[in-house]
Amino acid sequence: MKRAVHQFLPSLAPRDAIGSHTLSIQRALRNAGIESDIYAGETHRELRTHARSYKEWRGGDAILMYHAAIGCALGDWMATRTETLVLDYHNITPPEYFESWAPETGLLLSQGRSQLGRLASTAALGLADSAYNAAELDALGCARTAVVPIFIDPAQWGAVDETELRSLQASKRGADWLFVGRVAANKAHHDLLCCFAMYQRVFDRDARLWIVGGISSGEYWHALHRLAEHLGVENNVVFVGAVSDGELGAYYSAADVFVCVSDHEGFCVPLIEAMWWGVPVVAFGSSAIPGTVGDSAIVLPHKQPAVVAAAVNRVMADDALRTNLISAGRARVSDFDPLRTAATLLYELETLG
Amino acid sequence: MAAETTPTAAGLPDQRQLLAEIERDVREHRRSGAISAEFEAELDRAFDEVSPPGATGGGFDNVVDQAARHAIVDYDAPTLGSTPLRFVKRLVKQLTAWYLIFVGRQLVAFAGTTLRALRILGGRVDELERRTPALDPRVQASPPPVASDLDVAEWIPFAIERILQTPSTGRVLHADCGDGSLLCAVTAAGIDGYGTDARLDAGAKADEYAVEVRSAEVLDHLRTLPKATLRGIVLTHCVDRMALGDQLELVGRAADAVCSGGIVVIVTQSLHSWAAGRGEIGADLAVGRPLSAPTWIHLLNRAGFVAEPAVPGKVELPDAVAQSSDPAVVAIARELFPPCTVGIVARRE
Repeated sequence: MKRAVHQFLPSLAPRDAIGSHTLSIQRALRNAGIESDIYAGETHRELRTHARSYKEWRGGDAILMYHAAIGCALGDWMATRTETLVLDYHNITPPEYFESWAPETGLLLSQGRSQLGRLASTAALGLADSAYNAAELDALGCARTAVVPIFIDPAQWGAVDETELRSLQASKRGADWLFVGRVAANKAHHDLLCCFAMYQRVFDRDARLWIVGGISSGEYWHALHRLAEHLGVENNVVFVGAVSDGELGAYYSAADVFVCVSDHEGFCVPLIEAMWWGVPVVAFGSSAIPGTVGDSAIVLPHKQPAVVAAAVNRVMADDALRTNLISAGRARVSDFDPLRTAATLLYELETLG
Repeated sequence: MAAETTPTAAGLPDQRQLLAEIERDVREHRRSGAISAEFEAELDRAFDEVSPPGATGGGFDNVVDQAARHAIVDYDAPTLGSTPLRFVKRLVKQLTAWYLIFVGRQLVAFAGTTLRALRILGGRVDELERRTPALDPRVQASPPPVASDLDVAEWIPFAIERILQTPSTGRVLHADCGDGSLLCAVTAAGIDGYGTDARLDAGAKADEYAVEVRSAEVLDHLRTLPKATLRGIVLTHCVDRMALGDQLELVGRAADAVCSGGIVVIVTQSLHSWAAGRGEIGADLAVGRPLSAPTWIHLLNRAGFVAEPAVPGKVELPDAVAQSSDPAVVAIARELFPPCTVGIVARRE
């Protein structure tokens, strides 16, 4: 194998799944004695020492690994390169989820998908977080694809914010639902609110829902607040926003159930995080979600609010099921052991000769 | 209820059984009134009601209205910030206002003209829809019957016999399973079957008979299934009320869902029988209508199935005719009293 594998990505940012994944790959490659640098379209100031601008790449005998995400100039630039290309695909949200709420993001996603199509047909290898993503690469004509999960390393998550945890626990009166993810229409927070409203009305008046994650579309965010008021659940729903690692740990530690009714996920790291923290998962089986959770969660074939609410109630009322889901979840997390992921990645890169 | 669930080796209950129990729990809550149809309907439309026009895909006109909102250029850029920054922003704003307004007006003019062209195009599409009954919102607004008066009883042995001849891997789906009578017989024959039916009360009998029924329209359900997972699909009722486009999609989805060697069984009403059951007005205004057996066979063969010749259903003849041995009477009766139903079986290649 070539002794240099350099990574290229549109944006390197802290507390971001692709950013963390890129840094983990760099560690794994360097530990294996392979030269590895990171080149980005944009780099957050916290990580300025970790990456260079892609415009500084001077060429050489190396494999270039491109993390396909949103459309950008880097994507077009990658298509002009003649070095061996490895495409690492984390999925690009279909633009239609953004066209109504953030048209400018929708356009960038369309551009990203167009660039992906061009790159997939020229890549020597397509790496995908999930079988779902691999199937997309196959359909785009990628010569060879392999599933290499996203790097998930709980050791990097840090300690729980105990003050936050005590505060959450002190105010507890009923079941506490949690969902973690960007507030964007493809995550279907609006459906989650409806499911929660049903649960609160039928099963538990004191239940709470914590929605954790940064905002991708302000208009969608405002619509969710109006929806919570419309449904009469505004006092039981907390739009937490973006949080630190310690605060995130507190929310996972305090939650009774992680509920995901997202319409589109390429992998969904929070599902694995929830299982690591011992939170039972109830999820709608869309896109890559069934592949991520395996048999360790309740995966629903649809997301009628009544059915989701009843599933959560079952998890809350059935101690044996709850215990088994927690232990199965923890076993599932071990499938994503970073050492195993690193070995799979290196094996696939070795095959490029 | 928890005790009913059979644990797997990993200690977790069988997902399928667990889901069936959850669905049953939901039906019990619906029957008891704890989950009301009004509240479910309210949840269905709640997000549309609080969203900006067009944001939830609420029709062409709403989306064009949304585009019109975005087409207005706001020249009044915010100038917040620290005191020196605010000063600089205001200065830049004043110095460049003439230029931005000059360019902005051209953009607004372009957007306005484009939107006008879109509205003209929309009007033409409306005209086309008015001439295409299945697309006309007025026709779709009149709800079709969720099930026809088709009695599947005579077809139960036929369906079971054909399913038993297929490879035993995978489940059998009965779409629009109604009271679950066919499903019960399928399950009693040792076949792993389940049903779908969109009617809220369709699961009542299912609970009584302990069969699995999911609350879903067949196309919605088939869209979520992985490829080549079903042993067979039995299609009744829904095939007689779907619009042509949906019937075509149904065949394609069935071809995706059924495994190699699996089958599709279609039991459909004859057009004559279907029309007689609706009356002239009901038949004329119906969104969808049954296809003839040769058409189903053509579509199935084109989708990767190998269809057998259609099997006519029983014919109810007046006693005098039924008992006649006169060949002429029998021949005339065949013309006057065609079978009300037809069965079609197609095997996936």
